[in-house]
Order: sequence, then C-alpha cells, then structure tokens
Amino acid sequence: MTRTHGKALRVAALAMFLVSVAACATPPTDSAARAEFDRTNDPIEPFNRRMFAFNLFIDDNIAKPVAIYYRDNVPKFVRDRFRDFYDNFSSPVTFINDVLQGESGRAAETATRFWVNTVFGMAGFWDVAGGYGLKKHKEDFGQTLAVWGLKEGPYLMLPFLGPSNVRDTAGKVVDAFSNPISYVLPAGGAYLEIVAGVVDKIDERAGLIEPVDELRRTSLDFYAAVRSLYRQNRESEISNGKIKKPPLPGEDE
Amino acid sequence: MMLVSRRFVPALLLCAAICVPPAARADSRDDGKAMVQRMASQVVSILSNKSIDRAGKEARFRQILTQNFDVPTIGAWVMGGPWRSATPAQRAEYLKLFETYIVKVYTGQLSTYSGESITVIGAEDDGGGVAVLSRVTDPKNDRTIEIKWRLRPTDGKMKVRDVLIENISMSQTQRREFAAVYQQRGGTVDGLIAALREKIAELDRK
Repeated sequence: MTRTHGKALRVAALAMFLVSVAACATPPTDSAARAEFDRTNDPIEPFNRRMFAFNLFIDDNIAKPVAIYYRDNVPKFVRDRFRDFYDNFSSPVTFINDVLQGESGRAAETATRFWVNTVFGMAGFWDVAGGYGLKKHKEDFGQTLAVWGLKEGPYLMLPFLGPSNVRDTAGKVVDAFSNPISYVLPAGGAYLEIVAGVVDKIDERAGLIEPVDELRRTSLDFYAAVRSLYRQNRESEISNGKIKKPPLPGEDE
Repeated sequence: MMLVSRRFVPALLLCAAICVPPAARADSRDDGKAMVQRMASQVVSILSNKSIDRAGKEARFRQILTQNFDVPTIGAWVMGGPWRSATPAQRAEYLKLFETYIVKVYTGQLSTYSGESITVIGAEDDGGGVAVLSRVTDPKNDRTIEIKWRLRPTDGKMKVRDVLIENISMSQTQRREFAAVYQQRGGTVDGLIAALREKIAELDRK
C-alpha cells in the first residue's frame, strides 16, 4: 500500500513536471543555427537550465556532502556488499529488458548470475558469479524502447534525477514498477526498498566526486557538456558498447 | 636503365597496392601502441614528480600534447560550422587559446588520477588510421575505465584525433559545448574566442 502510494506520488510529480514544461525556447530562423537547434534537440532548454541549476543546488548542499561522508566513513567492505546486494536485487529488471530486447544470451547470463549470487552469494551480498567471469550488465526500459526503434525525443532535465529525455523518462516510470521481487516483499519491505534505492544513488554519486568536480570546473558550459555526455553514454548503453564509430575531427561533419 | 625502370614501375605499384598496406597497418598498430604507452609513462612521471608546480606541469603537458595530438585539426572541428567563416586571424587566435585550454583541462583531469595506472591492451584498424585500446585502473573506486585513442597519420607520424573514455568522445563533447557557447555569445567567432579567454583566465585564478 505504502509502496504503491510512494510510487504513485513520484509518477504524479513527474506528470506534473511534464505538463508544466511550457517554457519553450524559440527556434532560430537562421539556417545554420536552426540545424544546430535541431541537433541539440533541447526545445525547452531555458527551463531545463533552470532545473539543472536547481539540481546543482541540491547536489552542492545535500547529495555531494552525503556522498563524501559515505565514501569516507562507510568501510569499503560494507559499500561493496551493499552494491552487490542491490545489483542482484534489481537484476530482474535487467533480465526482463534483456528478454524484451531479444538478447537471449545476455538474458541467460543475467538469470544465471541471479541464481548463483542469491544461492551461493548469501542473498546477493557477494557477487560470486562475477568472480567466475559472468560480469554484470544493466538494462532498463528506456534502452528497450530504443532497441524497439523509439527515438529519444527532446532532452529533459528531471528534478533530482538529472539528465534524461522523453523516452528514458517513460522508461524510468516503467522500471519503477517492473521488479517482480518488489511485489513479493513482506510488509515493511517497501520502506527498505526505498532506503536501498537512495543508498544506491549515494553510492553512485560517491564514485564520481572528482570527475564531476573537474568537469564542472573546466567545462566552458557545464550544462551542454552534461547533455552531450548523457546522450553519448546512452547510445553506448543501448548498443551494449558496440557503438558505431563516432564522428572524427578532420574526417566527419 | 630506362627499360628496367619502366618494367619495374608497374611491379612497384602492384607491390605498393598488395604488400605494403598490411605490413604498414601492422606497423602503425605497433607504432600507435608504443606511442600511447610512451605518452602514458611521460604523464605518470610528471604527475609523480612532486617538485614541479602547476605551471611546470602545464608546460610539460603542453609539450606532450603538441607532439602527440593533432591539435589544429581537433580545434577546427570542435569549433564546428563557424570555422568556415572565421578569418585567418580569428583562426590563429582561437587555436592558440584552444591549445592552452586543452592543456589546462587535461592537467586538471590527470591530476585527479594520481593513484591510477594505464595499460595498453591492444590496437585495431580504424578507417584510415589506428585505434589504441587502453585501460586505467582506479584502485580508489575499484573499477577499470576503458580509454580508446583514435590516431591518424599526420605529418609523417601518428597523432591523436580523439580520445574515447568509456565510449564517450572528448572531441564530440567539446564540440557540442562550444556550439552552445557560440550561440550564447551572439553567434560570433569573436564571442566564442572571448568565452575561451575568460575561461582560461578563470582556470588560472584557481
């Protein structure tokens, strides 16, 4: 009940956000500028930039300090056990999306990893399968939609969650409901799941402290850099790393 | 003499077409790997030398960059469409600033990678050049990062045109970023140059 409630709230917030997105940038009339505008595919850029500033404010004051505290005070052993557990817990989502993308080999890998780690890795606290060469990978419904041929749609900066686009935002909503384990958790499990999800975000942020600081310090336009990084990273994830060669200076446009 | 050379010309051409390319490719793969390895050890030795201050580090990184990267080609491409309409004076000014900017970006980025070591793991043919694959291990975060160096023959040697970190192109990211700044600065090359100059001054201050 509470879990459905919490998720419904999140979805409602997202929907409200999407509706409130009315502040559109005016497309330029000049043809070169227009081509650039289309390629950037960020029609609500002014709004997104404000949301980005908000996210940075949250990051500066909450997320990053908490992540630094976490990295400095939680022993590595505990962080590793948590990460392995959470990866295993959320791996059914990856499995479902492996299947939906028609990747039978990767689906089998994910399923094997899940059983091996759940049984021999003490409910997933140890990534035993990884030690035998079955490396983890992640899939989400946004990637599945892309594999099915859906275009990414306009770029979106989500509150708290960061860079996204219309396709990946829809994917996130589906992902929030698609882990079968969530539905068989005993009472109170929903709270633990939310807490674990938050810790996972902290852990993720903790692994990026220096690179993000550096990027922010040196980039000419941090917002535009993040937008490009997000897109390229998603393309790489969608193609499972088998991305076609990106354009090269001096050879491609 | 004449006869010999006339008979030899087609043979030579044939040989050039058939024998040389595979050998040359294998050579350039090895050249590329050696080059990246050499560059990596130069960078590590600079980083581990605590007696060099930031200016000294930057000077050494600049040397490594200009020797191993095709900075003018990267710079022109990162500017994108506006490059075509830029005057020779603007281009020269921009490239000078671009080089300084890249040096500062890499000096800062590499300085955070103090505990990490780079290993060259292979090379593959990449269009008209070579892509060298390397791996950086980050003991602090217990992970490995894949870095791919895309090289092209330039002025008789292999030079870097792009660096891909986990499939993310640095040149591409900068190009998108510069395009955004160009728009914000009124869509003029001088505006972009001014933004670059301001950023360099800002990086010098802190």
